Amino acid sequence: MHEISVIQNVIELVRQQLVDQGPVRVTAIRLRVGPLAGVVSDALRFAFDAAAPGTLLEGARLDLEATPLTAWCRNCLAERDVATPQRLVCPVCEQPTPDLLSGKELELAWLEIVALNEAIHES
Amino acid sequence: MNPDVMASPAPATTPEISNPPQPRILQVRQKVLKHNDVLARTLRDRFRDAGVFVVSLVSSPGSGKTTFLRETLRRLIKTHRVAALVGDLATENDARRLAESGAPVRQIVTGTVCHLEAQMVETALTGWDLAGLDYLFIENVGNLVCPSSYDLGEALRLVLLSTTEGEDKPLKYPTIFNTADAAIITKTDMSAAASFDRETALANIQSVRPGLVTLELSARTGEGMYRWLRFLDEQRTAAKST
Repeated sequence: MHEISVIQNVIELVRQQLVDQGPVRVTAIRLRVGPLAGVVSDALRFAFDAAAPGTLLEGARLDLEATPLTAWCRNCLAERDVATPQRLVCPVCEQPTPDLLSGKELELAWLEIVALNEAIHES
Repeated sequence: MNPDVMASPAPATTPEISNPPQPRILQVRQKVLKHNDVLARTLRDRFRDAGVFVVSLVSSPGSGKTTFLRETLRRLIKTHRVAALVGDLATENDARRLAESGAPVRQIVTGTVCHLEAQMVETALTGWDLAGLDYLFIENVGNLVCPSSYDLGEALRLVLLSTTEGEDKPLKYPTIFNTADAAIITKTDMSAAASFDRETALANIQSVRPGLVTLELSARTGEGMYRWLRFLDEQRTAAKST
């Protein structure tokens, strides 16, 4: 498992995003994770808790949004929610659905930031 | 939420009654592994421009990647210019075995990293003339989990599964099967000894990745190797015409 390595990538991505923002503190971060992203949400949260202290993500709340597994059914000509990655079939007509539309996401959606000179006034 | 809305600054003289700081949302919407993806795309372009067909192999440790690759290189080198990169946490043993084929081979020792990334491939290729190659093979670290997230710029990704591993592997590791372009069932000569349920294994592969091309072979006896090489040649030809 490489969730620590993924969090390190997140930290670097956040650092790049904050370059033009002036002195700020990150109060929250949202990651969107699909069932076929290759990471486990629990492990990601564990890695975040372990790796964030001492970095610009220290103290930030981690929001993990689970994205759905959806596919295009060539038979129904419709977008379908697929229940499990173990069986990529259309829930309606049972035909195989290899064309995935979502489910592989591992994305930094947004950051919630607070300007540092204001944060000093928090009790 | 408007990302340009600035929070009002607190009054400097009376911090106790200042307004609480207003957080704002900064939309990012970027892939966490963007850096690898960008590098992989650059590699893919480089490979295409150089005319080298790049094939990567992923599997559990012990599935037979190295033996399969060695036998592939041994056959191909008679008529093609081939080379290989192999990733392992430690030792150069696999590189030595692959080099028995006569092909140039480089070992990537990852230390503790459980998968290969595009950066490692780029570094390992330093000094090699890609235009002088027909095929480049990249054997990933034996791991069915982590390599799935990392594009290496390859044209064809093979997932290997040996008859001695049982039929459940595809159901247990749908993610890696979903990133593969073809599956290879190895060690067919051990099928009977392992009581391998071929029909279930094939069905499970189709369940997690409908339509995935599946080949079956034994690198040791040679059974199925000719069909594999023909498939490989077809893939390379198809890629050249796009």
